[in-house]
Amino acid sequence: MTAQSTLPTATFRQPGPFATVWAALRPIVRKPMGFVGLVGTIAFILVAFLGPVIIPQPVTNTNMMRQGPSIEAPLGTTNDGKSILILVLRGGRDILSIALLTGGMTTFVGVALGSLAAYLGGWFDRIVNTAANFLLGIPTLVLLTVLATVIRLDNPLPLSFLLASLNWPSLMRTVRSQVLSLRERDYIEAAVALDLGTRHIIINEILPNMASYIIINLIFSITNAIYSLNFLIFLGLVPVDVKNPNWGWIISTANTNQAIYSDNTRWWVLAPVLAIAFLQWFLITLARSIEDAFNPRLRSGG
Amino acid sequence: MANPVLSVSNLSIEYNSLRGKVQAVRDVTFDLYPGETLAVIGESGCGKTTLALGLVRLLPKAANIVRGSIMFHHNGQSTEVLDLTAKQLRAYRWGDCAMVFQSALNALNPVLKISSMVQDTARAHGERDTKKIEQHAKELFEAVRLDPERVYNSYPHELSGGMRQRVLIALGVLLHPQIVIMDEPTTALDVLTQRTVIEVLKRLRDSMGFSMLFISHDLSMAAELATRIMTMYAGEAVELGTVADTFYRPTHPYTLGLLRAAPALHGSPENLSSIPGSPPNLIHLPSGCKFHPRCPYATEICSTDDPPFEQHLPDHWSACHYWEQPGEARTAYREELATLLRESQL
Amino acid sequence: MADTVLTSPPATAPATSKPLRRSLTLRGVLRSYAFRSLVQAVLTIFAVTTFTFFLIRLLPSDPVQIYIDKQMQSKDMTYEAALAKASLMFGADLQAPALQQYFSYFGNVLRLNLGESITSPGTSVVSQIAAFLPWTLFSVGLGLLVSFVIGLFTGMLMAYVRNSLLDTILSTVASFLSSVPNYLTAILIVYFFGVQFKWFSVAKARDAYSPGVQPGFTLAFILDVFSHAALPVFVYFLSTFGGWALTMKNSTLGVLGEEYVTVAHARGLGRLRIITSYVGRNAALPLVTQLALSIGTVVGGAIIIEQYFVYPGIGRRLVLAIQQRDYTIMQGIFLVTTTAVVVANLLADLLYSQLDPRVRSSS
Repeated sequence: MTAQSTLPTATFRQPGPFATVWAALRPIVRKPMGFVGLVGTIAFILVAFLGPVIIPQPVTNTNMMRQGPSIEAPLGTTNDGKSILILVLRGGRDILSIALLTGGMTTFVGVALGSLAAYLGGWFDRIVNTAANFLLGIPTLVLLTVLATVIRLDNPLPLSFLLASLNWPSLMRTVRSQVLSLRERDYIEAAVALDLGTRHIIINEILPNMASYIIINLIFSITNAIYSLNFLIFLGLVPVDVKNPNWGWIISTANTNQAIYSDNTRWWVLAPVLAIAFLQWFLITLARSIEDAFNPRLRSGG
Repeated sequence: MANPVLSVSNLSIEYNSLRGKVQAVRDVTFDLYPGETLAVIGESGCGKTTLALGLVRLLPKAANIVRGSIMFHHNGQSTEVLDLTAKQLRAYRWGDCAMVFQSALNALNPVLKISSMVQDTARAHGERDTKKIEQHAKELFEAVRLDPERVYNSYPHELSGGMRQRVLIALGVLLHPQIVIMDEPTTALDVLTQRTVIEVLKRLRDSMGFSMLFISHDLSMAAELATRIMTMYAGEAVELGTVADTFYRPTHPYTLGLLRAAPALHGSPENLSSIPGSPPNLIHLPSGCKFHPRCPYATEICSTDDPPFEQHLPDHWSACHYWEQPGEARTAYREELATLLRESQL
Repeated sequence: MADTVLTSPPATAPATSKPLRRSLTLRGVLRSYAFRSLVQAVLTIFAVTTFTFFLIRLLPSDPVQIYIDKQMQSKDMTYEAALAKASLMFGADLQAPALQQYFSYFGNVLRLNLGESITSPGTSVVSQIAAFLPWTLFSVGLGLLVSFVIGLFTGMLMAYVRNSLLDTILSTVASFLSSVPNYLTAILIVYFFGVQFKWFSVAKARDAYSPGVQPGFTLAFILDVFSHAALPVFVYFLSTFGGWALTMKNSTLGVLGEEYVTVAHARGLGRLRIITSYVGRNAALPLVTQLALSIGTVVGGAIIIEQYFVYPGIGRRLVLAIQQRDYTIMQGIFLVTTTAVVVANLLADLLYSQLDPRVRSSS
């Protein structure tokens, strides 16, 4: 038997990863809107990425062309006799993967430029601000359209890059103003006085306070990307995989085939439209509830 | 004594908060006489602002007046303020009873010129002659030591805090109300501007003759302006008397504590003391006398019996079982002080 | 919808004290918000023009060269002649060195010469823009105006009935409508109101006015124009008013808690006056800012929406140009549309400074 200390040992246990995540999520899921937003977003992401893996690609079936909803095809079939439901379940991956990639890029550029501009100041700050003001002052969708006609967008990387290069200004502005205001705060001055180092200060003191802003802006970058991506798909400026169509392309095809006018084929249009609409709504609701939870506004009464 | 212009009896105001009912004001009774200045003194959170808001029925939605009456006497008529209709209330507010708020920094509409707000106020009370109003307002600006032309045509953000406060005061007396409630008018200002505001208030009061309810935590300022003082603690009125009576012979330990906490010009710093402890939780108040946990004179009876607010001396009210003791302590202290003074001059 | 903004109102200018304005002096004008906004707008337009000039020339497949080659091949022109013709088309003197080309381009733009269409030679770019742009300005402008007014009143209403069932319903509806991309809202409208409820004939939902109607200032024509613009306007309205209602609601809630509203009540002002000049005017300020921010997005969305409703606006013309690879038209439309949006933003900025006296001078 080992000797046991009679003194109570004071141990400080860092909250485990699950506890931290739960602490962050709890204020969001407590409200119904937050819960809906979070669950909806997660559900969409799961379906979008697992769908193509689990569900096999639909094949052309000339016996079932333009049929209304049935047991085999609960949402009806397309011109080629393919089940609309299956197409829609499989159609989210391209959209979401590009949107997530673009969102990540935009956030990275926005945060990097914003914090550097605030921290360094001077000519760097001025250049970044001028560029941001320019991009914010013009209709970027028009610019995007023109650029998309002249730049080859064969694979996701240049596409995401193009979308990100037009969307970073608003996050940059938020980050910059946050860093500028935080710089004056007492605990930053304390950290500087304690000589904790620039890198430590940025990572351990400044960024956690901006975490909520960054996440909210990340979500909005994703929704912007979804908007812009489908925008380009509708204009035919982005190559699509016809065999594995994404939602935007399904809508395009359905429109070309006048699907909206027939009761049999209306889900060909409505299903992907509602899919995109609800995905956007879940994302935005999630962002709004994060904002409500972490950056509360004035509460009236009392 | 002439008839009072305002009679408040047993006024009680409660807030609904997430943690329970907050009793912000409990059974406050006092009269306000024409031409007098009544200072309401107390710590932050003692209910003085809530009382003031209650007098003009401007409480936030979460607050309720649960009991009591506010009688306004004017031209031989008496009206119950709590029974006024919305239209009558609008006429009463500012026209009969004006309230100048604490911090004037945000009390003026940022998108309107001062002139618009002056005309708004006048028009809301039936005065249509814009020229006459402008004239009157400019005269008042002059009286509060502001440049009339400049201020009348400017926007609030173009004026400093002190200037805005004086605009508010001028606006407050624009319609010649009978009662002016000043809620800590100098708290947010620097010392020099404070002085200007106090001078201005004195002059206006003397020339226009309104009754003033002056809310503050600053005893010395109260002494300068007021004829009577009412101290409040934890939502209750604990003492009410003339300035002289209250200062020289206080009848409540809380008032004594406040007096002791204010430095005298000749006293030594060691005589300064603060009241131990902190104000009570207004949702879960102590039993008996609300002040007893902090009171140096408290005994058993103080924790069980809540002393009523009654008149112990002529025109001098308080709520204390041992109301004679603070006066005695104060007299003793003052004698000691006088002795020290004499000795130091020898 | 792209550029979705948070519903929390952007911070308005802080209250500071400053010496009196009345600066009709030169210095006052130069420091004024209006002047600085104007300068910024001019610089942006300048940058856009420069960008447009370089856009075509920096392409991997140089359309200028392609055009020249084609002219030389099909029309059997000499290089010089083809180059001269290309110069005319693209609106720049291609024979000159690069910097001079830029200046000549700039000069042409100032003289409203944006070249000619490649696909339909002889048609000037400016004439095309002049034919199509007004329809977009009309429909987008009308849509934004209606959306702003209805969003403003709805938002205020939502603030006053906060936490009631009506508020919950309106908030959810507003939230959903503003999340749906506007080109998808167009599809949903056609489905619900056109196909299902049959409130309008989908086949006739095209063009700016009906084929038989004579253009002119007649009532018949004006009504016809409005009925044809109704669908795009309705789409712009549905896709923007939700966001504005929510912003207005939050802004109003913020203003209702401000001291000057309580003081206004203490001054005995009537409810109407308080709601309009004290609450309304202050709460609407962030909305004007948001309006300015959204002009670009809605104009961008018009590209697809006009295509969908076959509405002859500049968006549709751009799509046509893209399909035909008509680079000069594309270039011209980009320049003019961007300029139009910059000007609209400037106007919104100036409007804002008129509404909020705190931003008018300096700092």
